[in-house]
Amino acid sequence: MVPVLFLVSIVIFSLIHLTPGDPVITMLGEEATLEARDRLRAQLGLDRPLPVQYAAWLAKVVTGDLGRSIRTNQPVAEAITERLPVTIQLAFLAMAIAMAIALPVGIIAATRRGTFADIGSTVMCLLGVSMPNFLLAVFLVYVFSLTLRWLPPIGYISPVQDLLGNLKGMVMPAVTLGVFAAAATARLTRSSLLEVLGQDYVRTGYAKGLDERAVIRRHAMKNALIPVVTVVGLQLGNLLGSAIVTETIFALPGVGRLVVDSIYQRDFPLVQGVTLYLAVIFLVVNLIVDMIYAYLDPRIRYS
Amino acid sequence: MVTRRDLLKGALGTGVLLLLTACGSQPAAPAAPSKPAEPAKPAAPPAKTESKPAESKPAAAAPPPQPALTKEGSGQAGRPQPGGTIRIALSSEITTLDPHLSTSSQDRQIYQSVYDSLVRLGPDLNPAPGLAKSWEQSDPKTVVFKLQSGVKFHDGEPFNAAAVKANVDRMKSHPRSLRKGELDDITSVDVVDELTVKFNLKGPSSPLLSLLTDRAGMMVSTKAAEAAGDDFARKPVGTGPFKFVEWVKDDHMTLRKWEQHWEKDADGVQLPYLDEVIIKPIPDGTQRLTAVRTGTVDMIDTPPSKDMPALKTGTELKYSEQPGLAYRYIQINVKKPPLDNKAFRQAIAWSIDREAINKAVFFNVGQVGYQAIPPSSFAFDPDFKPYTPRDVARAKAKLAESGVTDPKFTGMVPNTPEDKQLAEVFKEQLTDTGITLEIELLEGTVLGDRALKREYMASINGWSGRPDPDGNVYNFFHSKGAQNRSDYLNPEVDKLLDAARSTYDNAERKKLYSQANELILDDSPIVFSQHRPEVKVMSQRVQGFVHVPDGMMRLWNVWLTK
Repeated sequence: MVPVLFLVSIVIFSLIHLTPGDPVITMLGEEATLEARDRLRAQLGLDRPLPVQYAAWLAKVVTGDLGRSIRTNQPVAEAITERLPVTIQLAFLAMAIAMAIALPVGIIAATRRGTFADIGSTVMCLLGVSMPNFLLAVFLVYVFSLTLRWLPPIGYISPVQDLLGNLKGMVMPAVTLGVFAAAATARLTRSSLLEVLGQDYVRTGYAKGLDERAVIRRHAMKNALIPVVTVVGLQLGNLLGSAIVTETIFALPGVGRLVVDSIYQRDFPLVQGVTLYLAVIFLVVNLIVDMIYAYLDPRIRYS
Repeated sequence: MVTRRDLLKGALGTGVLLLLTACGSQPAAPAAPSKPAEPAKPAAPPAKTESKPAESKPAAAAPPPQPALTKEGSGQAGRPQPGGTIRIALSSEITTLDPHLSTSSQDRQIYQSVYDSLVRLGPDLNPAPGLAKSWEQSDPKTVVFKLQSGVKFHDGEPFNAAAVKANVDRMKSHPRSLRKGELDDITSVDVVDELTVKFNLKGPSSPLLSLLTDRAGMMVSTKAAEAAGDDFARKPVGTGPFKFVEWVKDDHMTLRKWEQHWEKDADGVQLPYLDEVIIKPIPDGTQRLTAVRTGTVDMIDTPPSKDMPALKTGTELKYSEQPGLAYRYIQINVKKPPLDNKAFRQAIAWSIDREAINKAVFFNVGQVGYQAIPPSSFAFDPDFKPYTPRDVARAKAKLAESGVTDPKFTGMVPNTPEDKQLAEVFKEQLTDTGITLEIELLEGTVLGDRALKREYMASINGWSGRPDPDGNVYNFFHSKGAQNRSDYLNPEVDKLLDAARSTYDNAERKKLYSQANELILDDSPIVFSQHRPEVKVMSQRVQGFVHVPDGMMRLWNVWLTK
């Protein structure tokens, strides 16, 4: 994991520093003299060669110090942890919604292949995958906030403060995010299960008198889930970092908005810190996915 | 254990994210439609003697709560009721709470509550008493301010003449100060006595008072600022009607009533009326409007243009509109051929159909723009309408006269839906003349960077505007103007604008600006298109909001019905 993070950190660092746009100009405005700009640049350490800057940053990161935002002086770690609860809740809620829809729909579509239910689910999935999530968000807000007045259109309330209020605020963003994941996962579940259902050991299962539920639940699903778990893992990684559109529409203070704002302001320490966090998330989720493989399929062993 | 797949996933995820945002394809741009990063040059008419009639109550220097200029006529519903929490939605997050280091015009929305300015800006754009209850000019190079007594910073420190001096010194010496240029006309500040402070000027400076209504006039507790260092950006201490409580970026900011605020209303009731202010950034315009419609917030900034006509006539919400100070333009780099050719620039100006733009892009909610001076300004001349009506034949004649053989230029455009749409209409209209406009969509930061380095031909953008004409004109057309990214130089214009700066006579200034405008528009370093209206939408509960055309939320007189 460490070498990967190391490589990722180099990529992050180079990308953001090579992107046009100068934080010093954003901070000092256009009227500032060249001298004032140089002074600030030196103060921020931006006048040093990139490799030197990288080394200095890395040396601190290794000790757990992600630095401070050059705009608000807030420690980067604090900025991230402030937003983590929102992002984690949103991602897991979206994932839960996605799974709750995807697995039953996928299984039904596979076992009732060619029936009305299968075709119907295919159409719904296609719609779910191709509808941009901002459109879905607008639709949900129109129905549930403006017309029915059941849910607030924006905002985040901490669950510790008010659990019901928190859920009310999170439902629409989670559905917005979850529908896409659900549609993609349902399709994958269907095709993966179909493939497994055609295999010999499933026929053996039926032959020895097991009913359909037992065959699917105990034998077929375990194998069919391997590709599904891979995709779900990837999607979860995505949800944890890049729910930017959804966060913006519902004005949620999540990590996605943090990273976008910090990029717009060329707040280098913040961008580097947050993207590094995203990389760690991807790696951790991957690790978990790998461990789930071993559980699902005992033939997979890590030594 | 780490496979190539892991690596790819990680790198892809973050890389794609970076690219996406670097291209600015997300609607989450921090910049409000009015562009950030502008050293302000506001101003207001001249400073002369006591501008506040004596009142019996010593502390009641503030004007009595005035009704908001809403369509219902009067926003008042009986006597102000103290208490309550107002929830406000802004179009973007602010960048810093330190007014002296602020680059974004959005920041000023909060400063109006946390800080007091030496001078306040009245609804008529004239200076009104603020922390300075009166001022006097013994000669054109000296302004003496008498300060309010009994004013305290939120940390308990007294506000006095020494505090004013310390603030000016801070703005002039802080290495990251953005106010240095604005206070350039001040040579020194003398503490005369506890509550009297004297500003010594380089020469007469008509925009000065107006500048002091904005960030350059915001008084911070310099003691707290020194103690906090860079953290002052998150831990502000002012004298304003509300003190800072907490700021969770992108979520909310909470301000609470400052119990020892110096101001009382006409009946002697302590201001502010409200107990608490909660400010939320809601970047999406439609969602902002939904939030006020559903009662999630009480007041919002800038609804989407498309919704304005319906809001104007609707009764569900209060709609308040003022002619704004902002303008939209095509700024031209006059050093880049073929744009260095005056006739070519005039051909562009003649090609633009401003009426059609206001209708098609802005739903007729704004005012057609012909010049830099905003319609609400004393210097505005409503009859000055150059390059109108649109005349394609003349545009073609000008193009022929210019001798430009390849009439083509590239315009940088901020990547927002409205800017993009505007640019496309420009492009279409220029095609009629035979001029090709190539649109280059850029993220705000990159656009600013390129403009500063003059690595551009034309920039299709907007300016948030300033109350004094100087801030809208000098800034862009004087050879030393901070926003003169055209590199425009006309010695005649320079002379006129310098003269307008150094006289305190508004009639004289208006004349000078008119003369300058004739020359500027003839040279056309900027092609104007529209003045955006300044709009706030409120729930019916919100009372007493005084809407000043600068669009800042001044909350000390605001109260809520139960």
